[in-house]
Amino acid sequence: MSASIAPRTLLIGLDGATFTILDPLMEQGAMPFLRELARRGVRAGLRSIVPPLTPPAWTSLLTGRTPGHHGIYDFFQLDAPGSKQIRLTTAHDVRCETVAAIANRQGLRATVLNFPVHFPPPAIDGYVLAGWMPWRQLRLGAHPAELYDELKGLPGFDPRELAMDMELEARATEGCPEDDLADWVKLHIRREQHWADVTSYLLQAHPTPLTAVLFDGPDKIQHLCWRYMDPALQPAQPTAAEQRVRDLCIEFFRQLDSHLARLCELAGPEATVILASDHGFGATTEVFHINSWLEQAGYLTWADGARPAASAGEALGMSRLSRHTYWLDWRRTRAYVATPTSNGIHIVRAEDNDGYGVPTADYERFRAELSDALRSYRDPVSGEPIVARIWTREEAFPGPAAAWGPDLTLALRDGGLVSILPTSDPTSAPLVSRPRPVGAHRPLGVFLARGPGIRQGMTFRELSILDVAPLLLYSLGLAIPEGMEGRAPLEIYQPAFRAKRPLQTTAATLAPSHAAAGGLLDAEAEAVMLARLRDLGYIE
Amino acid sequence: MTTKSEIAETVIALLAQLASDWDYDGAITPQTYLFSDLGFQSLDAVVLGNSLQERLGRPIPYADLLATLGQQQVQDVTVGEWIDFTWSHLADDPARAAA
Repeated sequence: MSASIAPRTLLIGLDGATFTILDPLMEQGAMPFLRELARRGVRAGLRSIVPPLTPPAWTSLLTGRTPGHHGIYDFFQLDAPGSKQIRLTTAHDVRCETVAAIANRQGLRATVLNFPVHFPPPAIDGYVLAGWMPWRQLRLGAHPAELYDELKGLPGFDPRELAMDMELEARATEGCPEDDLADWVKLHIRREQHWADVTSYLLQAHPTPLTAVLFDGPDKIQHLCWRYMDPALQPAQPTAAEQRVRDLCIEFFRQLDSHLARLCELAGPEATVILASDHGFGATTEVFHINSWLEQAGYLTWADGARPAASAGEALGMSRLSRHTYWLDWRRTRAYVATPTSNGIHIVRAEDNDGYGVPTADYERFRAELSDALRSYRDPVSGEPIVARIWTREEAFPGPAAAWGPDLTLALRDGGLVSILPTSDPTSAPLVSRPRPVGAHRPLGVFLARGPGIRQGMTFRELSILDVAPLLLYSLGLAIPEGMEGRAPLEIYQPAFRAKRPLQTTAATLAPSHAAAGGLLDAEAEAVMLARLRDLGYIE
Repeated sequence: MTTKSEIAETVIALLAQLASDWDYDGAITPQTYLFSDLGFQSLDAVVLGNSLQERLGRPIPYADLLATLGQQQVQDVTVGEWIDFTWSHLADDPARAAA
């Protein structure tokens, strides 16, 4: 297909967006463009994957594959199956082609902006500026390399605000003082403005048939400001400071709406526009200290003298990543949780741990015993189970990359994340109430679309996040590789359009060359490197 | 890439290019410290290591270099040490051996 006659598609990702927040904002007039987009197009809930977490979920959206296939489970990755070491997840870990690469193979260029797991930037035919990059290194996330200097010349370009300060980012899950919330929201108002400016520039200066941009602010703001946004939790009599935070949150979404309007106008009236989130959002009201629960149940032992204490304001342990490697007594630990982001439990296999741990012959029995014990753990007051659902690795992550996933994945009753930190006292209850609700991920996100052939004003109950990649390809008139786990949801199109554009399929998607080679980087070295930097105080 | 001076050129040019994005106006020399002079923090060193490995086309165990820092009086690494380390680990590189 010639690029000159190709249809055009704009994918706008809204990290963590939920209709719980967007619907009231549309009704109140704070998001008039989004309301009009829904009126002139279709909307649906968008079911995320397990776990509903940013890196695996966006990778699923862009590849149409589940983590068991694409290999991304968390911000951090085991360096090998059975290893205790974790390292940063990078683009080299993605084992499946993204829609950008598939579009390239079929002759269309693509632009991908601010998506996670895009460093080192994939060498697609088009443009990439990776998301979740430390700001000092943002240049290294640009493809082609000269793109960065071109963007640097834009008025107001500021890498400090466009990229991330990783120390600040930990606040999204750990929380921050109430006095800092206003500045947090203002920072994200400015950041979305920067990404909108970059996207606007590229849409005009270097238009490509497929443009995808991710606005991560909704997730960051909802984590900390959920109680000011959720209509069910808003303070009835807000203080002046509380009202100020709420007003700023609404201003954030008001400005986001104007960015959406601007980008859609630049994409043109004939462009297909797809808005999607990687997961939804809801309140979390408690903290489950999972490693303390494992300790009290006899599955985990802290190394002598290493039982760590949470510092002030620290709930989940984001700044303590990788320390489990020396915090735990590996001769007396059979199960542990390494990160506070994906609710995954790893079982220590004797074959990977000098004979200490769970023997292969006993693995199935042990895992079932651990699952039963978790299911039977109940709220001492209400009697309600704390763990709402448990997936085994085979249930959650079938596929060739399953061995990199956790042995068990949990959904907690309040939808929250586990803490990897122990309770202050070994005998304390591992379940602790939060002083106030904060935001946490939910499996149901949002989907809206409008464009040529798409029905108008219709609401569909639910689509899968795995459906978005095939839909993007269909909207561009491209063939969909066999093996994608979702389907192009053709019901959102008018029958006459579907008749004119029949679904085409092509051979199964190819593995990226770096994944086939096992990656270029030395995973173990990187894991050790992170640990060394932490020991020296450079990562806290 | 076959000589140490080319490695040094690559590392210094990359750092100088990055530093220009931070409004760092000092010179980048082999004596420049990554953390105390250039303000590296958090994951900067990891990302820099990844990028250099990508450019060199092979893994370099930068963790070993950082492992020695804890034993030093100054717990930092200079650009020159980073270059020396990179060069020392290209010893078995066929391209270098052929040079």
